[in-house]
Amino acid sequence: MSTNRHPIEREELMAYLDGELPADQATEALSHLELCAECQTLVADFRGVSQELMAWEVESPDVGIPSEINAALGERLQKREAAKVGSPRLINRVMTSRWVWAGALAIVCVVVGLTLLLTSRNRNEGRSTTYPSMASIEQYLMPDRNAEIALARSAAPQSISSDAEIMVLGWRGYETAIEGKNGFVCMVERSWTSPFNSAQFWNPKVRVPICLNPAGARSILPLTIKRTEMVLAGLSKAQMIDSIKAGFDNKELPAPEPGAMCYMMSRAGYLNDAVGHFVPHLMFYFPLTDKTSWGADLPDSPVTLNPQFQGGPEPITEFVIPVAKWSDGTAAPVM
Amino acid sequence: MNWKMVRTVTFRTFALVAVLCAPRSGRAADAKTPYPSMAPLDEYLMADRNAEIALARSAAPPSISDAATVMVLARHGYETAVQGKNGFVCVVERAWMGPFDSPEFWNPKNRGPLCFNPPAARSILPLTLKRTDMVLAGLSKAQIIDGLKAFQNNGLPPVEAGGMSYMMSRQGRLNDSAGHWVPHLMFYLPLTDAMTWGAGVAGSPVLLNPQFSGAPEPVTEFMIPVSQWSDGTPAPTDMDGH
Repeated sequence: MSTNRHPIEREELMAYLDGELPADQATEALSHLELCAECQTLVADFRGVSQELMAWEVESPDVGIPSEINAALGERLQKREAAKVGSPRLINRVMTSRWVWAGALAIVCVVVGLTLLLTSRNRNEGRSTTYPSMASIEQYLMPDRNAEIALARSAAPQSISSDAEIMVLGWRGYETAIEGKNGFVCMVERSWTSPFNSAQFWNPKVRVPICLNPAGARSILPLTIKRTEMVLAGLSKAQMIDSIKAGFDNKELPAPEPGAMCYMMSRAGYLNDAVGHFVPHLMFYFPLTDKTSWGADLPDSPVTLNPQFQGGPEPITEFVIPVAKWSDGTAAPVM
Repeated sequence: MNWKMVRTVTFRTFALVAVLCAPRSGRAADAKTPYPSMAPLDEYLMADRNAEIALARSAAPPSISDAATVMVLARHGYETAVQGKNGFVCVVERAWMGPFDSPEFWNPKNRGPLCFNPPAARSILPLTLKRTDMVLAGLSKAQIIDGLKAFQNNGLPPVEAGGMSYMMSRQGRLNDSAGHWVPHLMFYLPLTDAMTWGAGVAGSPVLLNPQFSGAPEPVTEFMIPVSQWSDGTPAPTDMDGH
């Protein structure tokens, strides 16, 4: 990875995965990861290698030593012992030799390293084109409607989501599964609400639980519904972008209302392959503005810019603020 | 919003008011109104101007506050000590920025560092300046409230969308009870229901700050605690500061 093309080095990516980067660098890494397919692949590989190393165990040999060889070895050893009574046994010499152990360890490391490298390369080749186009619709749907309702509700504390309207994804778009009472709307967004240039745009595994407040439900939810309908209608990215632009031009799509925000505090969500469920956070929506107006992405600032919209094409700026707990009240990791 | 929700929000808001505004119980035992009236002006001023500038800047990370305008309190009101470049304005607020019914309204020890972002500097900071001018002119609480109502009709700009501020100083002192409390951000909206942001309900990270809430300023103020102080050190995650 060249520093000319990426603002973060490989080593920094590894530190990011280990949670060792300072908040500002972690934020920068996350923003870059969201858009960089190459880095997402690298992150997935790092994670894979880590998991394989964690899971690796020395296996017992599948093939036993043939009885003839065993017998011959035994006979030979007996002869040697008889010839060298009082001298150290060969096996003891071998077992107590540091050089032999060091050599064996080196061989094991080389073998494991080569295996992981080959596995990683094979995976790399497969992942560079992981989500080039839309998967079958079934892969984006959740067959268990109640599971989708529960996942949607997990975006916010129960005190909010239990009275919220719940929408679930059907074959033709989102539909109301449960009417709400408090003006909030909870749903599970799919990958196509990512930036259009995101490598995860067609990732069928993405499940993003979100609860929009009343102002967000009126002015941001229509964007999710619009994108989803166009996706399910089979429009290309270029067609969707054109349609969204036209929607804002002719006021079919609303500008963000003052105070529009949402909860994303689910530990059960899956935002993308790189970050998994990420950290619990709130998001705030504004007409397109400079990120410095909130001090976003500056060192030690708790505010980050979400690249979800940002004029590409929606004229909306979205700020993210991590919070301390998941919606179920359990403590979350610090970003 | 059902009654259960109303009760919950009311209770949590009351609890927050208790934390942010109430004096220590020991002190309360000594006197029910420990700060019944304004102390001598010198007790509210900071003798060391540079110390006040540093305290104001501590409200936000240096990446923000280093380029901010800094205002300090003088005998006739706030004055610009450092001209900024990024549109943020950092100040150290005094006790009279609390709710008018707060028992600490005249606590001379309170120091509330905060940095307003550009929209808040244009539409919320004027409230701080106006209250302060009236306090230093010797007006009573009733007169100040009347003055603020008049200001709303003549001169006070409407709350700008996106108005917010940083309060991440570990050197501040918000009141006798909470001390520096926890680092947090504040968000300003035209007067609205707390439930529009899910503020104050069980498990919500959003709190309603009772600072304004129509008494008399037509501003609703939400708070969200964050995990670090402005200097980057970790902060307590419990809202009682532990």
